[in-house]
Amino acid sequence: MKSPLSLSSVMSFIYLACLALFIAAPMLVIVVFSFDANRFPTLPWGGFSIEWHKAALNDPMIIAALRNSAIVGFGTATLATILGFCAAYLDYRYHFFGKRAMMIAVAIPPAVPVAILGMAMLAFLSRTPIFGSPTAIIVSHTVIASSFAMALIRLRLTELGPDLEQAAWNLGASRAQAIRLIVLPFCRPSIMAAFFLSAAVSFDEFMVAWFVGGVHETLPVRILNMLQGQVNPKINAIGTVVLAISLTLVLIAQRLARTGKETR
Amino acid sequence: MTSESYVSLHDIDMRYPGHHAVKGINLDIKAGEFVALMGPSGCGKSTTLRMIAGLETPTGGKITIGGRDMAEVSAAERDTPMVWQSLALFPFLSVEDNVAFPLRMKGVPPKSARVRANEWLERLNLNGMGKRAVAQLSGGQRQRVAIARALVTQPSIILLDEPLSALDAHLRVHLQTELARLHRELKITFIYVTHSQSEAFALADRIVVMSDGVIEQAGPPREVYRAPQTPFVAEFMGMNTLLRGSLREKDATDVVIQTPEGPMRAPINGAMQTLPDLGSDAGLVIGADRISMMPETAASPADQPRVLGEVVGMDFVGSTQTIFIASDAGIEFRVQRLEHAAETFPVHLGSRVAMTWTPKHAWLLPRLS
Repeated sequence: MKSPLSLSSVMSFIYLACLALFIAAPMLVIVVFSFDANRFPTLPWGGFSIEWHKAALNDPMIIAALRNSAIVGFGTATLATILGFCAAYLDYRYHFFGKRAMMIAVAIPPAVPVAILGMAMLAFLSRTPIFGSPTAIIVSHTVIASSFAMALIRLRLTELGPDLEQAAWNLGASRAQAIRLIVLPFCRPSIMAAFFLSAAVSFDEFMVAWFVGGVHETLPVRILNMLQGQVNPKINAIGTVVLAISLTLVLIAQRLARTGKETR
Repeated sequence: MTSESYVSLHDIDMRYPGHHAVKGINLDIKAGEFVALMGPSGCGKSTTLRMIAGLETPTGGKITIGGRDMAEVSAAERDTPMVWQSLALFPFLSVEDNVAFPLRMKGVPPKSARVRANEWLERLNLNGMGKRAVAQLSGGQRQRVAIARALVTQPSIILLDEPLSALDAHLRVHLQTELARLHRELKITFIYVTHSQSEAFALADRIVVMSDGVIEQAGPPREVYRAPQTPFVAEFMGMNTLLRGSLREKDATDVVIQTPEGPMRAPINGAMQTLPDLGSDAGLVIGADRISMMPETAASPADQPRVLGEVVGMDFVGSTQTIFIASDAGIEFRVQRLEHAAETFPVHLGSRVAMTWTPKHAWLLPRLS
C-alpha cells in the first residue's frame, strides 16, 4: 500500500534534490561545456561538438599525462592493495607489541592535509634517486591509498571466524596455503574493491603528484598547469574524462564491497 | 598396539597471561578408545583438545601421539583432524571441495580426491550433495559434512569439540548414533569434548572429568557416575546428593559419618588405600535413584536412615521425575523416581516428605578435594 505523499516528504525530497544538484552542478557545467562548440564557456550554448575532446586527445602532453596517470594508478592500486591486505591480516591474526602504533601509522595519512603530506614527501624523496619519477608518485600515493585498502579488507576479515583458518591448518594446510586457499578467496571481493578504490584515489590526487612528480605530470597536474597558462576549452574535455574514469572506479569498488557482504 | 597408550599427555601445562588454563595433567589414551573430556566451561577441556591438535603449544610437559613427540610437529603435519563446534566449513567451497580439502593438502590429485570425497559423502548419507554450496544444507547435513571432512584422510585419531551442541535434541541423538557406528566401524581413537552428560555416557568408553585445569577423575561412565572420587565429580554428575560430616566410627566393613542429618552408615570403599582418622572430615554420596521417598507419616524400615524435608523443586524428563528436597538441616537432596510412582504418592512444591535409602548404597568419597 502506498501512502499519499505528505508535504514534509515532498519538501525533504526537494531539499535533497537541491543539495545533490548543488554538489553536482560544477561537474555538470564542465561536462556540458566540454561538448559546447564555443571556444569559451558562455551562454547561449553554441551547439553540440566533440571538437574539444578530439583536440584534447590529440594533445601529446595530455596523452602523456593520461599514460602517467594510468601507470601511477595501476602501480598504486597494486601496491596499496598488497600492503593493505598485509596490514589488515597482521591486525587480524597476530598480537604483538607496537601493533596499535603500527595500525595508527597505517590509518593516519588520509587525515594529514595533502599540502603537508606533499611537502614531507618532497623533502624525503628529494634525497632518494627515485625523486621526480612516476615511481615517486606511486610510492607517495600508496602511502595514502593503502590506508583505505586496509580499512576495506580489515572489515571483511572481521567476518572470517577464527576457526576457519585454524581448520585449514588442522586439515594439513601450511600457513601460506591457508592464506592462499582460505583467507584470500574469502577476502576477494574486498580486495578487488580495495584495488579500484586505490586506483581512484591515485587518479584524483594532484597535490602530492605535483610535489614529487617532477616533469612527470599526471592528468590532474596537467590540468592545473594548463589552467595556469590560459583558459583552454580542452580542460573541460579532460575534466569530463577524469570524472568518468573516477566515477567508474568508485562505482566498481562500491559494487564489489557490497557483493562481499552478500556472500558471507 | 591396542593395549598400549596411543595419545599420551605428560604433565601438560598451559598458562596464558593471567590465566592458568591447564595445570599439569597426565592422560593416556589407548588406540581405538573413545574418550570424552567433560567439565564446566573454562575447565581446560577444549584447550587440552587444541593442544593435542597442535593449535596451541603447551607451556610445559610433553604430548606424544603413536610414540612420537609432538613438540616439533606443526598442526598441519599431525593428522589429528578436528570437528569444530562452529563446524568451520569453508563457505566459498562446495560440499565436495570441502571434504576433498584435506586430501588435496596431502597431495592427492584432484580427480581421486573428488572420488574419495564422494565416497565419504555417501557413507554419511549425503549422496548427491557434493556440488551444493554449504549454505544450501541443513544443520544436520552440515554436521555430516564436517565429520566426513575430518575422516576422509583415514586418520588414526579424530578430535571433536562439542560437535553436536548446535543441533536440536532429535538430530543430536541421531548423529550420536551415527558417531557411535563410525567409531565401531573405523576402530580409530575418538577424543570428544562435551559438557553434555548424555552424549558422553552414550558414546564414551572412558570419561575424563576436568575442573579448573586439572583432571578430577577418569574412568568408565558408570564408574564416574556411581563411584565419584571427589565432591566436584559427585556434584558435576548431577543426580547425586552429597552429605558432608566427620568420621565417627569404623569397623571391618563399614564407617559411620556424623552428618547434619545424624549418623550415616556407609560401606568401606574398597578402592581406598587408607581410611581417614576418626574425627576427620568425610563425605558420602547417594545416587538419586537410590533414595526412596514416602509420606512423612510413614515409617522407614529399621536400620535405615530417615531424613525429613520439603519439596522445593521438580523436574520432568519423559517418564522420570526428579524431585529436589530441602532437608530440615538445610541440605539439598535429589530424588529420582518413575513418573507412575506419583499415582500412589503424589507430591507438589511444599509437600513434606521422608526419605530413606539402603546404607550399602551410600558411597564414601575417597577424597574431599
